[in-house]
Amino acid sequence: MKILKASIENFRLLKSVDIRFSTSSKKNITVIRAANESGKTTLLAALQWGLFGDEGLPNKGRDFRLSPIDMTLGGEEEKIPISVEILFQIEENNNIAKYRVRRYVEESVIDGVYERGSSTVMLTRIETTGEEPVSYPEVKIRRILPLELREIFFTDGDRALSFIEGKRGDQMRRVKEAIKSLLGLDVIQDAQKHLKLVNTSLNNRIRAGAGNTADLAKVTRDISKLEEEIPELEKKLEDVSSQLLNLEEYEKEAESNLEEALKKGNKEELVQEAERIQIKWKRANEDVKKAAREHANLFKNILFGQLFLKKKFQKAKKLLDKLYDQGQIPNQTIPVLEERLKQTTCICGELITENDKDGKKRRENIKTLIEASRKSDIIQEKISALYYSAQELLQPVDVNLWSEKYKEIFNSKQRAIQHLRELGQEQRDIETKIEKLPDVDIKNIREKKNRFKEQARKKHAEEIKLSNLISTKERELSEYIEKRQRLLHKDEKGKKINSEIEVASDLEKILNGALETMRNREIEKVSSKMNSLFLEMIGADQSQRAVITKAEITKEFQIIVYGMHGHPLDPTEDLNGASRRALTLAFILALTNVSEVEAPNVIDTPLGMMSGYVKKSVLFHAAKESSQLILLLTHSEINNCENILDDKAGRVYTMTNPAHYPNILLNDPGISDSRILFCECNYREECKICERKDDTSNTEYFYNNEIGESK
Amino acid sequence: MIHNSFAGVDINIPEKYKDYFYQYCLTRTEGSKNDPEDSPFPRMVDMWFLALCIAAKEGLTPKFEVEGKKYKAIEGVVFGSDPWRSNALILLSLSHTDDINVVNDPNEMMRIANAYALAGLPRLITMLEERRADSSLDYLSEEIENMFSTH
Repeated sequence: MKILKASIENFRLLKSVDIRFSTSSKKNITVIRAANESGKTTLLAALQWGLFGDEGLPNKGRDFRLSPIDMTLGGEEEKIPISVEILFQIEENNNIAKYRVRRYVEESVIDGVYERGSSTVMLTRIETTGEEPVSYPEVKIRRILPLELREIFFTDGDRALSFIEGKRGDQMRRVKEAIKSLLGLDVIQDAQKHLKLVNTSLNNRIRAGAGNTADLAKVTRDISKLEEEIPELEKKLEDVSSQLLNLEEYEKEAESNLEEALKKGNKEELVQEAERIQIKWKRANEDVKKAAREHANLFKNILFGQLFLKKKFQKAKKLLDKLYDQGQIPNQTIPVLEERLKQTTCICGELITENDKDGKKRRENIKTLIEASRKSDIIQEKISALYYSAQELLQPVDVNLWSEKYKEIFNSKQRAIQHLRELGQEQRDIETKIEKLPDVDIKNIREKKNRFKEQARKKHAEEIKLSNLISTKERELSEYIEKRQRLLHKDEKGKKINSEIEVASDLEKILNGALETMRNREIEKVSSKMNSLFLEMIGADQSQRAVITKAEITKEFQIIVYGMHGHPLDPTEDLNGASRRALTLAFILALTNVSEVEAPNVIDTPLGMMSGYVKKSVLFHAAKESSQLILLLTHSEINNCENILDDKAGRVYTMTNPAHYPNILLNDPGISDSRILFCECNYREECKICERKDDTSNTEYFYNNEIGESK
Repeated sequence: MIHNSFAGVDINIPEKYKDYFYQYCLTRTEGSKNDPEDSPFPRMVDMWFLALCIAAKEGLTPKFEVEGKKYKAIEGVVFGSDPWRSNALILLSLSHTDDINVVNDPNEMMRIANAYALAGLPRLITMLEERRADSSLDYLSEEIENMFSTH
């Protein structure tokens, strides 16, 4: 199929557009040059709507207004006509046949609320004699270009990435669907379904004829039941496996988020650590105070008095020692004298009795002595007590003792202070870390990860259970089939049906084998083609030790890229934007190439994020592999690719949005409504409509009007 | 239990020293100010006694006559918990008077001791106030160490 021309009326901002597409095999590119917001995506949508109806629109056309946004009518009677007409050619019976498809719908818009009627589609075959309407136009169009292939042939750079981005299960499902649709694997699967119907019908015949053979009827019933159950279970298993893959991806993603967040720092842990350090700090602070108190207690120490009052004490000691030498310390006079009075003789041996005259005199003397001693006794008692209790104070002390004690206490206090400082520093460091941390909820990420892990575990258990169930059912089915065979062999009619069943069974085996072979062989072909295209596109020269060495599609329909030494790379994380886009385009082109389906590749912004060699190479290979390439490109995508387009572009248009005046456009287009303007300027030309301001004046404008205003 | 000769004797000092006693003694500081680094004396008697020691050590003339209003800063009962101090005061009085009769006169002994303390207080307060960035406790300790090492 090749698109020759498209006429669009009132499709969003494309109010009146006629485009002719290049059908030349040498110059097979049609370039639609347009800046951002200049109708590229709208044109892509319009072409898809023209061919596939609402199915070709985003969200199948739900909440997608078709009529121009600035068109509001007065009443319900007034309708906005919207139409897309596409002229295309296909190869039919070794001839080129031309068709025209016209899709038409009306929308009424009242107070900004739109209502769309039912669309009509008309397909005509263009003959030399005129145009012949084709019956069942939708069926015919679907046969020419199946709806399933829409995303392969009509795509944009971002959407194509879904083959290698997103959840693994979804990626694989998309790749599988694309391959199945384009390689005609559906046809074989349809044939398998037909055979199943044949089997069902044979089973019905057996049941009908089994009449009196209860065993045969039961076995046949059981077989029919199992033949219905098993595919359903297989479909369920496929879904569960896909869900499991996605859950594993989610878990992996959460794990990676967690690692990333933990690398930056676990805020929760840091806060806990800060609290632990705070407790340690309080204890250390108490230790410092305790050490300071011990230090202060030095001023209460006896040593302090001994050293400071040393001279004074020495003088006092001399006095006390003298008293001691004089026998006044300790004070023992009175007890001795009193004791003597109890005796009859004095210490000297003289009599001190009352009967003796001299003794009596001596006795009176002793009593006088006792009386005199009593008077000074209080002082002597105190001096005596002082003499004995102050002995420690009066001892000579080494002057260095205080210094040593002080140093010991001071050092111990300094150690405590140092420890406190270190903890304070740790605390400040942690607080700084906490302040710098983004507000990431690690607990939540961890819970999320665990949730996915648990769900994946359950899903895995479900997968195993389903797998086992299928095996059991298949075993049962095989046993029933054998039993049915034995029962059918008992009569002639049965033998006949059995031989038919055997034929159907053989055919099923052949189809299964063919499907398996096709699947493996065709996937290999697509994989190999994609690999060579991709490596060429990105300029991966193996002799130059390229970082990317290979790309392949696995039997599980996953697109994988390998690095040096066969190390697998994750396309989402390990490839840059340009390589990712190159890979998806290589896949699409390889698929269309292997399928040999001839259809235009309409691609919106395929060269986004690309530059230099890769951009030129992708463009070159896309042109080489596609039968008709319609590219919707921005000015920057075209930049540096002009030479290739000189060789390959058969037609070039420029789409301009007048609303870009005066920011981007140089000239006032003089248009009062909202619409996209078309001109036939190529990528080297500019006219009054599409002429843009140069980058310098754009920058100046942006500065003056945007930044300047915000200042 | 050893008899406290000074149990009934109060220590009166000039009002002008009141704030310093409050500032440098832990018994009169509260809350966050209760830090031995800034208030190095556990009790007021410790500060008073150090002043006395400094005067004795440095050979300062005891100040028996002090002008101005006085207040009761310390009660003599406090010496009951530190008997060596009680003895130190008696020995100081003996040394000062060279007369053992002084031991029978607690008021006179306290008058002598207080005269030494009042002679030493200005020096002690100067030390505490001149500490600059150091804590009072550290600076005072350093000064005391210097006193011991130079004499």
